[in-house]
Amino acid sequence: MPRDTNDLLHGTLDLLVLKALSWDPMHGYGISKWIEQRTKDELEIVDSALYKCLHRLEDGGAIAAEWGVSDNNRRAKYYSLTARGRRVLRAETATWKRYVAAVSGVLETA
Amino acid sequence: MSERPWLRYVQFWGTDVDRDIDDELRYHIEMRIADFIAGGASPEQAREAALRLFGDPHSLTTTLRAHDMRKLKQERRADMFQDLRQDVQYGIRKLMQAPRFTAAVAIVLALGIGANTAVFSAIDAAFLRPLPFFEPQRLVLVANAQIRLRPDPKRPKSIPELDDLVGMRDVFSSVAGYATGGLNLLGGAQPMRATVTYVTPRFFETLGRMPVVGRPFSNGEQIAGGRNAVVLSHALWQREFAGDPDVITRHVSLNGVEHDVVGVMPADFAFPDQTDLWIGLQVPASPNVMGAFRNFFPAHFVGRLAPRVTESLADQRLELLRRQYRPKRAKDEAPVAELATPLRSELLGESKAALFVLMGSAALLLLIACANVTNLLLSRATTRQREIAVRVVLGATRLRVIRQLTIESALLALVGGVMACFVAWACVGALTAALPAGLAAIAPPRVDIRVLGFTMLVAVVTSLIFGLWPAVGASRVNLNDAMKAGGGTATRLRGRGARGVLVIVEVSLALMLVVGAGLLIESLRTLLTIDSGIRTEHLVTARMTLPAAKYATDAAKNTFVSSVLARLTAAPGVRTAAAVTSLPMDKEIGVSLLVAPEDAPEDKTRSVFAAYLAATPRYFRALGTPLRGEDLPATSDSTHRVVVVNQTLAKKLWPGQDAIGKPFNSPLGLHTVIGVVGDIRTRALDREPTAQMYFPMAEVGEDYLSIVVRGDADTKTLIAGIRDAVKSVDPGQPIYLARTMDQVAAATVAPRRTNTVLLSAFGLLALVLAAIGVYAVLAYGVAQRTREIGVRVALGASVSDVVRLIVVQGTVLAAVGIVIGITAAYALARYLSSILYQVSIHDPVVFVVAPALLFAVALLATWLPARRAARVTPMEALREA
Amino acid sequence: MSRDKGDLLQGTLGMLILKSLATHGLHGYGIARWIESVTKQSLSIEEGSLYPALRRLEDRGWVDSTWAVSDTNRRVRVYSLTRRGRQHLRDQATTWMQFAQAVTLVLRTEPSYV
Repeated sequence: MPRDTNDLLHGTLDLLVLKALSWDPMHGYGISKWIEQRTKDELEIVDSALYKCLHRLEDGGAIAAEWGVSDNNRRAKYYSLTARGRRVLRAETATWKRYVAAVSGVLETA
Repeated sequence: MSERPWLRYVQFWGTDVDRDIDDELRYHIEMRIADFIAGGASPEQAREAALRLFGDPHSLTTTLRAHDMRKLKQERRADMFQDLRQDVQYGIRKLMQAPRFTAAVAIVLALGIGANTAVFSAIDAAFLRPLPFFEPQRLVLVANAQIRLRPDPKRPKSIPELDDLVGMRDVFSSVAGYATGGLNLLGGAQPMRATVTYVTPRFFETLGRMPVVGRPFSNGEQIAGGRNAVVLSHALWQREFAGDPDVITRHVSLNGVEHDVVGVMPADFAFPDQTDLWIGLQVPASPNVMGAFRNFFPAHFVGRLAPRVTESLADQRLELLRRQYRPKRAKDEAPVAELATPLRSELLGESKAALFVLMGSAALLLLIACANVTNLLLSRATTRQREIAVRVVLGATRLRVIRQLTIESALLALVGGVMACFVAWACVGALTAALPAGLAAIAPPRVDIRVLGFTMLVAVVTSLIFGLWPAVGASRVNLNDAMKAGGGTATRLRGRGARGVLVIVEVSLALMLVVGAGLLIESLRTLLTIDSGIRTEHLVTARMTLPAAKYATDAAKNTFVSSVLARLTAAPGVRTAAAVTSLPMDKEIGVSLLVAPEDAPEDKTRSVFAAYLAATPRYFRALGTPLRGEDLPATSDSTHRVVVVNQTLAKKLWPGQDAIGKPFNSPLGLHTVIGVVGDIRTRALDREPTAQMYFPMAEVGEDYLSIVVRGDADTKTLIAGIRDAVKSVDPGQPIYLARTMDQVAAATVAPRRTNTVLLSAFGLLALVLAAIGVYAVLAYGVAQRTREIGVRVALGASVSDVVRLIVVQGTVLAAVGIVIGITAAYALARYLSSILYQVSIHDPVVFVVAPALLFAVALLATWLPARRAARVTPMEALREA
Repeated sequence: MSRDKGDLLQGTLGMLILKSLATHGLHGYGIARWIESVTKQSLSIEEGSLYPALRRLEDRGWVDSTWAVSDTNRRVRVYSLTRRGRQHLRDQATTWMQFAQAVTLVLRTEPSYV
């Protein structure tokens, strides 16, 4: 089951990350903790996938990064949502909803 | 393409990947276009929209094609294995249904393949398997060098010595000398005579093997005055020291001198062969060393070629070195060939030719076996025509039928091959004797994984040779004929012709083997009937060496020898007992001396080399060799020194005169000839006798001697008598090599005997197989022609007419085969020339007897079917029809 | 950032194909049409990608195919669900539902658009 979830997660991770950052700027570890908490550990984020995703989003201008100091006084890179990121989040959320509706519809057909 | 869709639907040739993909994708796109058009779009718009929706069909086709091809291959492979398994199962069932046929074929193949496997195991050991040394291909034996045990600055070197070879660092990365002799060993389970090899430093390092227990010699043990040390052979360690791992703390006594045991070599390190222990040679050597060698140090040298140095380069450098030591003669001397010989070819010696003859003969035997099996399969194929026809009708392709039959052949070959391994395994002992002892000791023939691999390869090739023709023939069935009971006439006739050819081939091959065996038998017979100069029956012998420490003077030695002989002579059943320094036909390094008639000591043309021997009185009587004149005296008389010469020497020194009474000059001084004795073959049975001279044992006081005893008691008792007599005179004195003279003589011809026995066995098998072949084809013919014979009988043919019909048929086959065989044998006999002894390769007796024998056997094989034919009654023939 | 439904769908395509075959066998075009109709065209992918997906499902033993003749006398390849395929579809649907719920839960949390 975890493997299947990972496959599924592939197209959804961007969305989840954007969503997480819509609360507060966070460092990478914080993002993954946040997602895991909110999904009641249903989803487990692979670190390498997360950082690839962050890099991709930063490249696309959806998020911005700056260095800060973490709670335990460690230097950490903090990510925050840009205005563009907000627009992307809105659009992706809509897409997601349509996708879920469609697929659940299919699965529910007899 | 849509005109005749069924054509595309029915796939004759299996899956067509490209067409499948094309059909599927094209259908998708065309349906989509059709839907769009139905929805009101123009055809162009529809096509464009459909393609946009679909994506790139070309890259998709590539992806799908790669996938489908891969899958297709997997499926085909799986199908093939499935088919193969079915064929194998079917084949096994068919073979089980005909147990007698299967057993006959398997046995014939087992003998044929087994003979090849056995001979190959010897070939493998002789040529292919690496010798048990480090990088053995770089080891060479170096000739024309010596080790001086007591270097004397006043006498310069005359030929290269070890230090010269060691100095050639660019040619040899390592060189060592060694010499094998014998010493009396105390300290093991019992006193014994040990074969010892003295070795110079770096001997083990040169060969690249180290002791399994303990260590090699240290530097201190290889310089004069150092500690005496020995390394034991594995066999001696097991036999005399019960494999004691603490043996390296023990000491042994060799000819009365204490030695430390420092190591034990591995079991497969038997170099030179028969060595019981290796001793570090110290130069200058102590006098004790000579005790092992009878005043002659037989040094050999083994060298490891430096990287990238070839044998021929080593040869050239050794030749240069050789000439340095003889500058005066160097100009007009031809170079000595092969100063450096690869270790393997040196060990192999002259056995090469015999091994190739054996391999060739085994191959011939296998061909005969194949012909025989082909014959059996052809007969069987005829009886199976109906079954094959049914399979064809049920849809089996011709190729499938051939494959089925080929698989059956392969199964037969496999069974034969497995049985062959047992045959080979049983024969390996005999093959060991076909190799020279020195090689067999370190590389004994054995049935290992390589040999088994060879067997399986031969089995597969064999199955193709004997199986393909019948399979192809059988697959060519004429359905109409085959479905009729009894089989088709046309096929049967063709089959009979083919079988006739096979029988001819068998007979001719068999004749070649029988001729070969005959020539070897004739050669061995000639050799065994040669007058060796002695009568070997009722004659036993044993050897001993008197340690110099105990028997220091000639008088002590003489007393010992004469008391032993006196006791022996007094023993019951003994007629004569005597002693000699060198036993006839025993491979011994004797000494030859330059001798001359006394009147011409300076005349070089009249001096000849003669073998030096010393014997006690009655030695010639014990051997049964005729002696003219007086026997050797028991005591020495310095005023009247006497010698006995053999006929060859007498003829050489005094041609046309009586030698008795003639004065005679040798390095031992002036002697008078008192007797002329018959020639004795001293080296080996197949060596011409040389000039020999016998001095009285009492005069020369040799410490190395053989006792010979002739008596009426059986040989065991006589040998026990020697042991008792020696023990009663000196309980600490070991004797060794106690044997009958027949054994001594036989040992000299052992390799020839092995070759002869093997080739005769091959010949006999070939004879039997050929007879079976003749029998099978005629018996089959009779069975097939029962009706024809019946009609003939009904029409008044007599029994003798019928018998004549069959006998003529068999005789013609045999005769044609014999003519071909004798021609081939005549042409091939020259390959035997090097292993024959005094027999012409075209020996008329062999070339008459062998064909006659084969012809007789063929006639015998004809007789049974003929008798069967003679009993055919018209009634029976009609029932058959 | 051109992320569209295609990416999301790719992860689910196999499941949708299996689902399309749940009642009866279909040819490739039929599968495409079925997905189109049940998702009311709200999900669309390059239709060509159906075929590699079908091959993958076939390799896993979830789908079988045979050649047949269509109503229009065309040679068509018809795919059908195997027993193992049916079992797998059930498992995968459950997994997907759980996943979708988890993600949706996250997306519902506020503040989403501060």
